[in-house]
Amino acid sequence: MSPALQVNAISKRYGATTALQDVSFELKRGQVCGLLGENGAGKSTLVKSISGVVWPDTGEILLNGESYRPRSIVEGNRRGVSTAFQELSLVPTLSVAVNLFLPHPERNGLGLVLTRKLEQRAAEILEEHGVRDIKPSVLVGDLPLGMRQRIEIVRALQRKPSVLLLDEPTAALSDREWLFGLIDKAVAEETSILYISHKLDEIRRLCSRCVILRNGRKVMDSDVESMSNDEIFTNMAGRSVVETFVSRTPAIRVGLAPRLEVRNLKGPGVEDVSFKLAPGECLGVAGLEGHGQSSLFKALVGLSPVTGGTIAVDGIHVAIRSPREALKHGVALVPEERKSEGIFSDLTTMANISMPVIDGVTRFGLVNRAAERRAVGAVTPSVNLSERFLGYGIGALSGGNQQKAILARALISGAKCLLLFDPTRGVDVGAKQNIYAMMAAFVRDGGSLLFCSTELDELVHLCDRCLVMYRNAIAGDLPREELSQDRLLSIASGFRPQPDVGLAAASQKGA
Amino acid sequence: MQNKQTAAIGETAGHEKPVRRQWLRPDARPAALVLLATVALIVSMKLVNSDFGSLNQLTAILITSIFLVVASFGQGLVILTGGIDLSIGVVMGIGGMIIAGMTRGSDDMLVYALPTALVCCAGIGVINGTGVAVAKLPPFIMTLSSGTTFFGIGLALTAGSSQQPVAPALQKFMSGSWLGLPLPVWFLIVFAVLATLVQNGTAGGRKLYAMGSSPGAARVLGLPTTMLTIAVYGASGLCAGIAGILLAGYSSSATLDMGNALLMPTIAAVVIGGARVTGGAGIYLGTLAGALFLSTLSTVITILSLSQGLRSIIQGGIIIGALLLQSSRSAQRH
Repeated sequence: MSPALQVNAISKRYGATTALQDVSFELKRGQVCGLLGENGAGKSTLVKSISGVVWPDTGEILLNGESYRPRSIVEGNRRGVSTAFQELSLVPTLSVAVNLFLPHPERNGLGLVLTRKLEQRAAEILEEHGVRDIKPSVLVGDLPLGMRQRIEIVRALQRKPSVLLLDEPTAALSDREWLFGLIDKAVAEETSILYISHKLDEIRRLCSRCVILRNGRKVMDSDVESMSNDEIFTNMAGRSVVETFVSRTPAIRVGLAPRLEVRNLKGPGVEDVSFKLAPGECLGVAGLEGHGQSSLFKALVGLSPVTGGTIAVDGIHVAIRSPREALKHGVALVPEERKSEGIFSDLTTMANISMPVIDGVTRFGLVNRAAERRAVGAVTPSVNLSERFLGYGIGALSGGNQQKAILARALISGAKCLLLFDPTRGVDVGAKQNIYAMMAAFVRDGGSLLFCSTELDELVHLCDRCLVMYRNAIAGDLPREELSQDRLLSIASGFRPQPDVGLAAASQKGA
Repeated sequence: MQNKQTAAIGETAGHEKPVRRQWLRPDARPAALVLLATVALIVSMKLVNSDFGSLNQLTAILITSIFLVVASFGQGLVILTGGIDLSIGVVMGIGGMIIAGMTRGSDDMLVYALPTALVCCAGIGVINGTGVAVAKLPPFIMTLSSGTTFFGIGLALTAGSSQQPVAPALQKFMSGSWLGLPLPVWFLIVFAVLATLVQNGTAGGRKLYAMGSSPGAARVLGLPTTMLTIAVYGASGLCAGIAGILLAGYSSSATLDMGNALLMPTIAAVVIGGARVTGGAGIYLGTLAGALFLSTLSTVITILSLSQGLRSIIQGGIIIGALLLQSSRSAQRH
């Protein structure tokens, strides 16, 4: 019998970046195969190639032994391939029911969609999949991330696919057992599942086999049982990167006014947040996705309104209404969305980096290229960005080099306090090391970092202290000695830490 | 040592292959292409009709292109930031009408009329920019409705056309020459050089590219986006005003609707020149080439005595063609 899915030597390039190179593997009928890899290893590109979102440049895919070249997701669906995407593919302005039946909701003889019938069917389907707390008539945009993720999963499952792709389905999920139950049921019905995750316990629970990608190449394909955790981690290379990073000595300057002092900050998505960030300190911010980290960072630079509380920089109260004002006080944000809020894709790497100081490198009102080059050349070594990239459009660079350029830009602006939001997301291993080194050098020179990361091991190894956010508020504040992934994860999942009464009491007193 | 090691990883892990350097910068290619097309148009006309293409005729084309060259610079700046200015035609008319109305056939008032006209035109632009940047109105609605409103105001204050000729000095400027070159051609050269420097040489110009390329990143980085937007629409109004004054001088009188026929060509010139309609890409050299091409084409159409309908069809077709070319180019990249 031919395998359900057979991928033969597919490759995919984006501009100058190779996302996938010669990746081959098989998915047998009724098998759950884990797909592991660091961020940026090519997992999502592989999923998109199989589901029909992108076309591989070379190689072929066989579905049940037949040639399969989907030109769109819809065609993929028709052939029995269904996907729950990591960056959910639901339409926020439509109801749950309509979303479940996209792209072609059932129509009556007049070609109209009957809402009531649709919602009835949707309710049945949700019930069938064990979802009882979501009403089919609610707009998806009004639902929290976790519920949306469940809808995304139910939608993929209700099509009764022969091949199901789940791209980090538990990222925002609070009840993993619900998903595991559904997967077991689907496997019993001969569905083949490719399960993408970087959580080892999930892989061990669900998968019989696993494939590991690194930098776009397959580096391992074997039975899960025969592999030790260490073997898997070494192959993913993610963990070892941070651990090989020399643990640095704390550089906190005592006796100075805090670089950033936030008291009872309130705003959309931020509830009564207080913390102090000292000069020379790297303060981590942990939390599961959608627990207010992003809103907090935005509020700190004036990208979202602040409705209460105070911010003080170097001991002086300031009102920050825009990133421009934040920069005047020496606070700069390195944003979460590199593509839409970080890079200027039409400009050269040089112009991207020099933007904050462009007014200072002019002569007779015109940009002086030599002065610009000197200014940029002064910061690129700090992030180890090769000079030869400076002349190219930044869009042609790999994610890692783009991120290095954005960090170089933050450095060139002269900011003394950097707010880094997940700076290593989608970045290759080498660039990660460069970024860690830049962060260490920055605090050594007296700069302050507020550092949010989705990778807990980064927080554990890099931070002097770490805040944990849960439901838009700070649920924990752990000193370096107490940092561990388990500890962070348990607080981030809403388990109250025992010894942490001091902070809660203090913030109550403040309010 | 550590540094060297990480550098090596950085180089290999990114799988980056440097793109080969080309002799012509990619953003200058459309400009070169359009200039070639202009030459080809002139040569092919010369083959069909040997009377065509005399030096006088070519200078005449250059002189008539001046309105488009000036006005499309403003349009190009606005498009660069991701907007569009649909009030240009009306502003040109208003600029011309103010000059004609204030000078009434004599040079005495010209020193007051020129700044008045320019300030009014730039003012309309500033209003547009404020609407777009502060009130966050979609640019095409803001500029279209402000254009209509100011047209109405103009119509209420005047009869729609000037009763008297414009100042003779302006008319002389448009027909005079210096060192064997007509004054408008000198003006065109100086304007083109200044415009190129402003758009592609100054720090402000660089920021406009950044804004158009990624408004989100521009905001996060703290670029003065509000001020830049207002400045850009103001500059567009100013350019339209200058073009209107020149047009009034050229035709020695002004009507309120004399600029309307030039609105579409300003957009066309920018788009043909290789600028992206959604902002962030394109150089002024391209816009200049586009303006020259359209003016040549317009003269050719006049000489062939094609109908007004056909003229519109050709113009519209060229814009759509240029856009199709652009989208197929960007599709190839992905």
